[in-house]
Amino acid sequence: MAVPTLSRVLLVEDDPDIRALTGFALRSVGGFELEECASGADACVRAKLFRPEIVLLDLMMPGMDGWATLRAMRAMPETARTPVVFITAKVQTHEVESYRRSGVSDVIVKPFEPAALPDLLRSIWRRIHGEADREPA
Amino acid sequence: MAKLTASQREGFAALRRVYLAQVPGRIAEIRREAAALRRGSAAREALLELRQLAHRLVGSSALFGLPLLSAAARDLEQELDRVLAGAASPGGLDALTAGLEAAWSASEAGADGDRGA
Repeated sequence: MAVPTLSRVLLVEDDPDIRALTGFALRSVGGFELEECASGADACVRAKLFRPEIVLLDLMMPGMDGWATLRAMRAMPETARTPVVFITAKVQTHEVESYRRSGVSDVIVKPFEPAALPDLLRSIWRRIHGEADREPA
Repeated sequence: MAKLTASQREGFAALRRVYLAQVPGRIAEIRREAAALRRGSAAREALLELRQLAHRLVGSSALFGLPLLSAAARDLEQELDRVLAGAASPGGLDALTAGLEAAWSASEAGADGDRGA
């Protein structure tokens, strides 16, 4: 079965500098239709209209953190099955599998190369849809 | 990774220039907050706010290619975790906030290599 094209990405990141850099990479280099949110609460509101195909979610945010945002999204019919990818600086290799068991599709570890983020996200998207990962050309 | 266009490269460079221009102010803000803690207002809320500033600096400076500053900010973040846990006093924050300025100066001098300021 063909892997659907990834178009709509919701980025949830409280740090405005990281959001600007990551957003530029996703929009300009990746060509995605991007919605940016500064908080989990805002993301839950905007996701209902935006209907993202995948959510990039910062784990450590003040107030509603990544886990709380994930739980809230899972409780909403619009995002109950939307893949969620955590972005975090604090993760051990053995924790990634535990995250996946908790409903997280994958984890992107900071720091990452911003310009490479679109390829990384598409690779995760292909894996989610069951296609064996391929080396980028 | 696909080769970046000139426009994309300039976009990344412009974002980095904006960020670098803001770094001294971010460090100054952290030093002000830390100084307030030393003057005796070490309320948990103030500690959490300072920790959040340090955490943001850890992540953003690493992404913008300033590993020395990111490492110094991580040291501060970890010390704040110890203060919040009651395992350390705010007095130890002095050297760590000074370390941010030292790391920034080193970055300006090119110690971060070709990704430096």
